[in-house]
Amino acid sequence: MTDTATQPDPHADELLPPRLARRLDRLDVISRKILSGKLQGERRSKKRGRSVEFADYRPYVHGDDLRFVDWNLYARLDRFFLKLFMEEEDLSVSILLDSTRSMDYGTPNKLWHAKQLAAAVGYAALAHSNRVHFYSLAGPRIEALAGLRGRRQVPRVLDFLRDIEPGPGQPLREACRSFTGSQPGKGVVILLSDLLDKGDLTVALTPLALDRYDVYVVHLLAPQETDPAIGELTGDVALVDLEDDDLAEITLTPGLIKRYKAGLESYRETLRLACVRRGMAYVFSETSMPVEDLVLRYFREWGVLGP
Amino acid sequence: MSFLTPIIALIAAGIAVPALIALYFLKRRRRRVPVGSTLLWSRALRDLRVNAPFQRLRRNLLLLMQLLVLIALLLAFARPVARGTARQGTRVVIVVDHSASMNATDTPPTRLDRAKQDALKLIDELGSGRAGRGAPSSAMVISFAHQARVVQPFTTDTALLRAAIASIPPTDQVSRFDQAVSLLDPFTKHASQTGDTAESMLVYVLSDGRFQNRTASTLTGADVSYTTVGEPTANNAGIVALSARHDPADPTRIHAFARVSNFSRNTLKTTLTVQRGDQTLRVLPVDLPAHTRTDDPAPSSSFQITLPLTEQTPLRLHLDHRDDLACDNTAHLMLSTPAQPRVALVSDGNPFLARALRTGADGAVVVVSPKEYREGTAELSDRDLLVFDGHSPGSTPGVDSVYFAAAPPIVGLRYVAQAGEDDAGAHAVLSWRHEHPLLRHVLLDNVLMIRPGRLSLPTHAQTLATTRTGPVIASIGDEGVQHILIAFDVRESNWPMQVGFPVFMSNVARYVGGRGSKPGVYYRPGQPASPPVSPVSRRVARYTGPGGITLESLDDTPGASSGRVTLPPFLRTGLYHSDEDVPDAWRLLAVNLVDEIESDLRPVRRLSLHSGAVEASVSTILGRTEVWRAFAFAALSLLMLEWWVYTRRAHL
Repeated sequence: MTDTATQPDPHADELLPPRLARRLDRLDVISRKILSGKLQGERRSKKRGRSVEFADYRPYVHGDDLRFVDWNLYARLDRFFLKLFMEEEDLSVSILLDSTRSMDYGTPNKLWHAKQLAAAVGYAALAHSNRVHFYSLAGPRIEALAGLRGRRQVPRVLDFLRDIEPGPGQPLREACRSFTGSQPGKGVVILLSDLLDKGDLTVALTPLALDRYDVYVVHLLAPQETDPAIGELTGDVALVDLEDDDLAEITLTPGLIKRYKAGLESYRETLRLACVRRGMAYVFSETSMPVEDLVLRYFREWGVLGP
Repeated sequence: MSFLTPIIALIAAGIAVPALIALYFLKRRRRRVPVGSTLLWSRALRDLRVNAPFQRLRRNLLLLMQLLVLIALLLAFARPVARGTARQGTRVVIVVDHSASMNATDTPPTRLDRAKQDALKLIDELGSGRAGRGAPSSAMVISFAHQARVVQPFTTDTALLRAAIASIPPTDQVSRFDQAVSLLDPFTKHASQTGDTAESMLVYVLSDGRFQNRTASTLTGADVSYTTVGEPTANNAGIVALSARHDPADPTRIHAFARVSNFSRNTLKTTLTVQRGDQTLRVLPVDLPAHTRTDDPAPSSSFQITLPLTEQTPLRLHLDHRDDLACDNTAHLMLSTPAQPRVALVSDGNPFLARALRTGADGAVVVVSPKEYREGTAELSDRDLLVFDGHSPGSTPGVDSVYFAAAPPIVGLRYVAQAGEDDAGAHAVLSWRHEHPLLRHVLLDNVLMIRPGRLSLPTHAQTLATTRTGPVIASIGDEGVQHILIAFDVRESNWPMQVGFPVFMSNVARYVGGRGSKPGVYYRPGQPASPPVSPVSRRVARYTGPGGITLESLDDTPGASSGRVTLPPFLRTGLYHSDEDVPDAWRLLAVNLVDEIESDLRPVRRLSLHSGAVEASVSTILGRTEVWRAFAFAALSLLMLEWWVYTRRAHL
């Protein structure tokens, strides 16, 4: 059942353009693993319950409800069988937004792009009565806006996302651990991050590699990070890491750019394999791609969203 | 390849190269750029360090290219010259120094022989066909010492050039390179003005650089190569100064002065022998330290020898020392007593003058009539002083002379006698020069004269006394001879009645007539001597010098009609004697080097020209071509390449 539509927030255009929102009404977050929710929602659950959709038969035993006996089958077989139906359940969708300082970089800005993605995915989930939780992975503790349900929560979501400021953050591994500790329930987890963590990311993602989570890792990078030649980097520069003020003195050369790109490809491949091995979906995107295209086309192709 | 101005280029490199490197690394203050993460950059850098040496090179490639540009420019600045064939039509000038120092034996047999060998090698290259394609190069030979001379004008005939080189004689003269430059100037200026490469000139200077005037010479329009001969360790000491003067208290005594210098790196322990004729008068010890610090003057010793003057005999000083240059070890000095002059009076009869002249004359005063003088019938060649009384000779005598109411035919001098009743009044002397030797102790304030003549004097004449009509007593020097002019007839004055008149004539005899005997006389090689000859009949003088050298004056020598002839410049040192009929004072002529610059045999390694100093090369190369343009082009190409590299987004 869909909730009644509420009046859109006039400021929502920044993060969630109305046109995109209208198109997202037809999409919902998809879980590759069908997970049981706590409430009855628009979700086909693997559990057999009380819905109108026939699922299976089982022999009648003393005490079963006679209303579910299939009398047609009795007439044919002269034996009593009980009908079983699919139970509809809601989906828990957790959106983890990396809002560390490294995300506040690039043109278009990675953090803003991630906020837009979070708003879009969150809207789709809220529009289909899923339970939606937002987590900002910055600061010593992760900030959360959890347990949202229904479209009327969209303004709160947008405010929350808009107010997120980049912060020093903790290592991704610690952030993921904190999340799993605060979100013991099952559900879809969508991680929006640049994954530029100087720790071992394969280890960082391990806390999310649980059966109860259906994880989508959305790897976001700015165009200047995928191809340094198009950025403002020329000649002899001292690169300053926004996270830890680390300094890397380089002289930009074709050889260095080539090695950087090769390193990036290798890094992405490592991440992809790590995700695959952990049963996670790995999605890569540049912030130069319009959010609308990314959400309506590529997220559908990659199975993050679907009708 | 060699370089014409390597020192300048090295100095420029010493300044420019460190400055470029310092600026480059100062420039490399890196721009700080924030990025999301240095994670991937650090990994890329780590991968790059596998090829660290090469990468370091690539990172500094801009600096390397800029250094290459700078090096190419500095090499062009050093004016490199490449050995190669001469350009078609190149003209070559071979300039050979044959001064005294070139007779040094430190480069056996002598430096001049070595220079001649180098010159012959140059001529060989000219003739071998290696010089030029098509039109052969022509060459000229110039020799220089005290003066410069074109020994062989431009020719392509190598036989003529060889003969010219062989004919260059050794001399004991000083070296004046400016004379050679003056000789070359018209040729080089033409080459400079035409700007045609076919007219370019190569000048090869073969010398030891011991020039009298070492200031920069101007030799534009020519490529100059300087080959020095001689060893810096040459061993030489010599007599570098010599003079004499009469003892003012005793005219029969003379003081001779000499200075000996040691230019060698060895100490000098020897003796200086002083001889007169066959008699050894003194043996003086000479003990001088080595000349180790070349910037300091050479160690020297001065000597004074006091001698009685008995006859006109040359004094000989000899350094008893064997070294690389012999001509400065011996010097001669002609000594003579201040003898009284032998006087001749050309007059129709003037007892005043005849009597007054006897006072200071040596022997009887010979009196000849103007007619006898004009016809040359009187023998006056032995006279030291001629006095003309009212008679102006047709030619200027070659000895000192005095003129009363007359004047010799000297340019700019005119005497006009007063005639008739013109200005018949008495004229007094208004002023006179008391301090002049001729007028010492002579009072002219009471001298009156009638009808003094008018003297028009040349600018170099000295007015000694004036009346209201102008100069009345004057002195003129002309070609080494002194002429005293008195513009009035003494018989038309009261002067002979005064004490001052015989005093004046005595002063004349001593000051003018006695000048022929100088206390100590010698000539230097390169200087001419002008011995007197009989004013009318004899016009040739011959002298024989050391080694049988013969010097003979020419009939058309300027001044032959004046009683003097000029000998060619002396080439060698020593004593020259004449058996011809010349005054005793001129029978023997002493010629000495006496020059510190020539005696100091250290070769000079640099030839100073206004266009830049030329360093001496150890070998002569014909047909050298300046190739600085190639280096300049290389610098420009490298600079353009560096621009292209720099303008790429990614710097190499």
